[in-house]
Amino acid sequence: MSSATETAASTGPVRAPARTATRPARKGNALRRFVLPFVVPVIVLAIWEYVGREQLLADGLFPAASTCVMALLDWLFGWQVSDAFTPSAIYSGTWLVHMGASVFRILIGYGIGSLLAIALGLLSGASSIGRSLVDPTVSAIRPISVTGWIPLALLLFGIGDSPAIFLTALATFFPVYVNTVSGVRLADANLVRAAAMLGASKRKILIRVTLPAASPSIVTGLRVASGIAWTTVVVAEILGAKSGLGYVLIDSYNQFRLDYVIAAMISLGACGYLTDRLVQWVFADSLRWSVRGDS
Amino acid sequence: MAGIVLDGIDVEFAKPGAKTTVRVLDDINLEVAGEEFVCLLGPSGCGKSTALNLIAGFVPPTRGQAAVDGRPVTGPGPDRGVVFQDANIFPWMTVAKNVAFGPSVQGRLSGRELDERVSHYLDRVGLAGFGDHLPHELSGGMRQRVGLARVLVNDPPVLLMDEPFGALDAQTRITMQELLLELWDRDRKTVLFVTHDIDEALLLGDRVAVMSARPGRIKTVLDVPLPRPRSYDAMADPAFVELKNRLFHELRDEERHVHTGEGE
Repeated sequence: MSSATETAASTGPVRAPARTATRPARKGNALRRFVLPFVVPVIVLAIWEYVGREQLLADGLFPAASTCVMALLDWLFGWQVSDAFTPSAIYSGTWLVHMGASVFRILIGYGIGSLLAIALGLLSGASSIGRSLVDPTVSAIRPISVTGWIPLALLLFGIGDSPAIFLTALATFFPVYVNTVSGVRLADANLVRAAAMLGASKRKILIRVTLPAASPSIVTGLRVASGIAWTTVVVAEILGAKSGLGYVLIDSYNQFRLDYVIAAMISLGACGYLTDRLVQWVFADSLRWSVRGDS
Repeated sequence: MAGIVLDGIDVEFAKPGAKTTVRVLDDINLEVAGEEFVCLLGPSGCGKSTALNLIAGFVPPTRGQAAVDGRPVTGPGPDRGVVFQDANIFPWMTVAKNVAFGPSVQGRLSGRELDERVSHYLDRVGLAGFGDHLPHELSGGMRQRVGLARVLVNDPPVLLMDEPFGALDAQTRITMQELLLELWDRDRKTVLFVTHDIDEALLLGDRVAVMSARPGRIKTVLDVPLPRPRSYDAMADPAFVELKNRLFHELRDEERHVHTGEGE
């Protein structure tokens, strides 16, 4: 948790100048920006540390905050910082490998799921035949929660990358599809008219006008999906993988290593946050036109 | 010499939620000769934009037929350039990309040839140097110039203009009207120009067709025998003032019909 808030805090000042530039500096500003946000975390960390050291929770299994940080550092760099009571785990220095395994599954699953969703969403949003062909099936499958697919996915794909990729693709498909369809439907019909008047064929209109007009909505879908992708890959790894952040999470739990469990949670928070920023950054330039509206 | 012929056009729209239809245009007959500038003048809601959309191919007639250059209209196409009321240019494309859109989707031009043609037309509408700007960085008048340039670049024989200057402030509107006159004097096209502004109709048109409201009919067609090339000064011409008076009374009768429901 601490590293996630640190990342958030370190990007804070990047946005801050724009906000302060328009407003005159006020007296309580420094207090509000540099002191108040840290009050609650510091109190929580202090209590956490105390409870951990005194072994007050979960029969003494709940670790102190510092123990979790040490576990994270050991996991990251293989520092072997553990003492006699908490021998260095088998994960020492393997963070990159597990993170890489999760990211690999997400990239493939997210890629397949969102590309398919954009293609089918365009088809369904832009043509009534496509809509009749695609929409009923998607609407029928959508209410089944992704976790409900887990047994079937494990049965079909076994243990490893494949079920995680399948589930991630499935989970990312729906938010991207729904947002693509609504983006296409709400795309300004007058822009489509203008394109036809300028001599564009139906296919050209779809790719050069409808798709970019729907892109703000599609990007919203992609952002939502990137969060869901992390959730899904963790669940998939808990139940059907031998690597990845989700696997470390459940395996250290099984070994009563709650310091590693919490280190894995911190890692997931950081990865989820960075993924969202990445998706935003990738599309920021292509959406420059829609920022100030298009009146 | 691409003329426009509207022959016995009725347009009916389905009333949303009801099974009845509304007749928007009723027995419209109008001929616009090749290279003629005709203004379609009428109160708001009289169906003049529908008439233009019909020729553009956006709206099908319920009865009758629209033809351009002797061929019946079946859908939109680059031979009829439409300039919309709110510019309606692609907000995610730069000015230059907007202007290049027509030739590029038709695959007619590319590379340097296209670039040269785009900058030529940007120059003609007074937007030289603005090629890299995005639409939201431009004023309303400049956006309308882009809307004009992206159509002219296709070199259409017919220009359909739907109150293109209606949303602009008075000063900008006059500038744009004079720009249009200058473009048309140099490169004659068949123009149908929809407006509710009497001054604008008289300043621009060879003829003015006055429409009545609900359902829209062509009430009268007036010749505008003012000399060309025209500029803003034409408005001081006694002939202009007399025509303006006639049109004013024609239109005021129509507004009254709309408000008292006599036209229904």
